[in-house]
Amino acid sequence: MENPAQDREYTINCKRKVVQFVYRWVVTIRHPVFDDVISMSFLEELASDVEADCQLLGGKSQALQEEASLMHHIMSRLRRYQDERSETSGLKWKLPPGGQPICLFSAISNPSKNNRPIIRPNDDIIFRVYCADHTFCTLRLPVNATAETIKVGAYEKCSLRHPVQDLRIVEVKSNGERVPFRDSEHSIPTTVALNSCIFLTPKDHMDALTCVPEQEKSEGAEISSDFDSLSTKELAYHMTLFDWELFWNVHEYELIYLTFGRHRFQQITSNLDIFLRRFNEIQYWVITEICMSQNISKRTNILKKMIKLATYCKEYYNFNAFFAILMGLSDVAVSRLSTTWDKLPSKSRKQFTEYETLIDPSRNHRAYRITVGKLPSPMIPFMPLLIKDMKFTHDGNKTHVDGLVNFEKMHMLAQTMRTLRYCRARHLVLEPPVSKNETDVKSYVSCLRCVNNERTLMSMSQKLEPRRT
Amino acid sequence: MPEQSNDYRVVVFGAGGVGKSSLVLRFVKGTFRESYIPTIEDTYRQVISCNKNICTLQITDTTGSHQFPAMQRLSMSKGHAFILVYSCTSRQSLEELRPIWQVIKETKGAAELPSIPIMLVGNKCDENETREVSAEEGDAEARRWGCHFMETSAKTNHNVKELFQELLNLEKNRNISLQPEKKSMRGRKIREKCALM
Ligand SMILES: Nc1nc2c(ncn2[C@@H]2O[C@H](COP(=O)(O)OP(=O)(O)O)[C@@H](O)[C@H]2O)c(=O)[nH]1
Ligand SMILES: [Mg+2]
Repeated sequence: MENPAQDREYTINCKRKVVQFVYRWVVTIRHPVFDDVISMSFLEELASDVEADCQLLGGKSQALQEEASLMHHIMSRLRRYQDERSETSGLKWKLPPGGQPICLFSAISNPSKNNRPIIRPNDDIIFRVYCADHTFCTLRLPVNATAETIKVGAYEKCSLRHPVQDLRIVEVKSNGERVPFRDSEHSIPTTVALNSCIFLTPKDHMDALTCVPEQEKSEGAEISSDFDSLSTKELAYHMTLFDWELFWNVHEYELIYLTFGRHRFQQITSNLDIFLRRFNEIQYWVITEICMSQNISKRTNILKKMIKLATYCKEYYNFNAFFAILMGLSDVAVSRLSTTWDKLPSKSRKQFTEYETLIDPSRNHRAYRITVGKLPSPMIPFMPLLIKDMKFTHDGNKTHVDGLVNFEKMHMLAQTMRTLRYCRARHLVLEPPVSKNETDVKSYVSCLRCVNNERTLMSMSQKLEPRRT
Repeated sequence: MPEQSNDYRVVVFGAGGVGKSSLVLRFVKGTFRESYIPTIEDTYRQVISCNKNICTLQITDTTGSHQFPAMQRLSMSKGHAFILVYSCTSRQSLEELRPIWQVIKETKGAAELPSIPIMLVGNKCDENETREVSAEEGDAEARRWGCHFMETSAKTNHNVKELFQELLNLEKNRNISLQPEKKSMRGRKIREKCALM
């Protein structure tokens, strides 16, 4: 470039593009950028350079003014984020026995914000570790502690005669299945399944581990009120608000960490794990509620109420809960109760049949995709499908082809993540229903009782309506 | 529960890399690619005949859903027939099918199970050097499960059409055939020829 004025113009244009790109990047990704030391010092440096350039160019041109203000915006967001972080740092979480969802039990320092906080890698979590004889110790460790750390911590508290290197941390699911953890795996309390327990065991005794009694029974959770005594609409409303907060706290990157494997990034997926667990919780709660009703007319009533609840969830665009309820109702333990279904009013039955077409998985959940494709945000999507889309793309496609990054795959993954972003493009605001007992409903929806052992549920169901031969 | 469409749904299970996409693409499109096959669609469709009517055969690839029992159960409860694919070159891939078989059994119930077309498939039977599972072992496993067995190769096109034919023959509740009326037969022939060129 020969003309110095042109040259200068070109340089300024390039700088402008860089700043605008950085701005887009930061406002899109947010936390992970602010949490990363390198990207943070990059931002600091860039901000001061842009500032300096502005001074240099002086007031005679408006060049880079706009960019300076973008950087300013970024930096003030960064400061705000850091303030918030220091305010909420070191939160304590609790994983109650029986593996019910995690509840926060330390008060948030700023009571004006009663939003559920995000789980951070360095927050503490309090949980139980069981031994084969069902004695347990309680540990308090960072969320991202490794299985190795948990092992050592539990070893010090429990009296096992084996050398620590022969021990393993194992998840025992409510159906008795045992899943050992590698020593390097982390954030175990938030990843274990619903109603799972964490065990410490000698490697060669793993097969002898059995469930602790609380895992099978649903009495583990204290039920403050009965499902049938609460207003269906109020339940749906508070369920949706609760689910929305869980959903809102999931970062898009957690999808990537989960899909490719957390270990590759050394990052936690706790917020996503908990939201995904919520799906199972709702689904099994539906089955449990129905299978625990001994009386046929009560059972029919609950079935009817569940269909009604699904209707409200759908109206609130809470498709995650809607699918969970519908899948619960379609479970064999429920669908086989033909006497109960026969007593269902025809209106409810018609509604259920209509909903069934919406959850039909044919052609990759075409019915659902078409329905939500036409809806405005905000909404809570059917999350397992988004995860399936990510996994499907990942499992079915190579990340590198002939030594080059497979962009086709990356575009497909990005498309799914954009769906997530679309769902949350606006914050959820719902018209509150007439409240009868808000406190009861709120505490009820935050901890749903459920048995999630298919075999137990099936035998409960069989006792209710024995098979006719 | 009411049947809302006349689609016939076949659900394919199997670990990554055993050749699910290859088998389905070989069957639907008549082609095979040695190198990278992008997995884009989860459902492939083919027109077939059912009780003398035209109906759609839907073949669903369950890749990616193994972490979601609820989704697996849903596709199982909506599926009419199942193909469980392992690779003859990987014993591990056969073992990974066992829990899936277990869930199919639970979902469909012992009473209904015998009437459901289920095929255990050992793919890549062309790979003799690296074989880890013999045909006899595959067959024995299938017998233990009480389902049918076949070895295939998507690469050499061995038993691929036969697999689907056999599966549909096992359906006793309706009369299903891969050959619809003449018109689309001709369509397929042409496509097969194209693939050869
Ligand atoms: N030798 C041989 N290779 C096969 C066969 N079927 C698939 N493959 C190869 O195995 C790899 C994985 O196949 P793919 O269809 O993507 O497996 P999927 O992950 O189960 O869908 C590909 O490289 C295919 O070319 C077969 O029958 N024989
Ligand atoms: Mg594939």
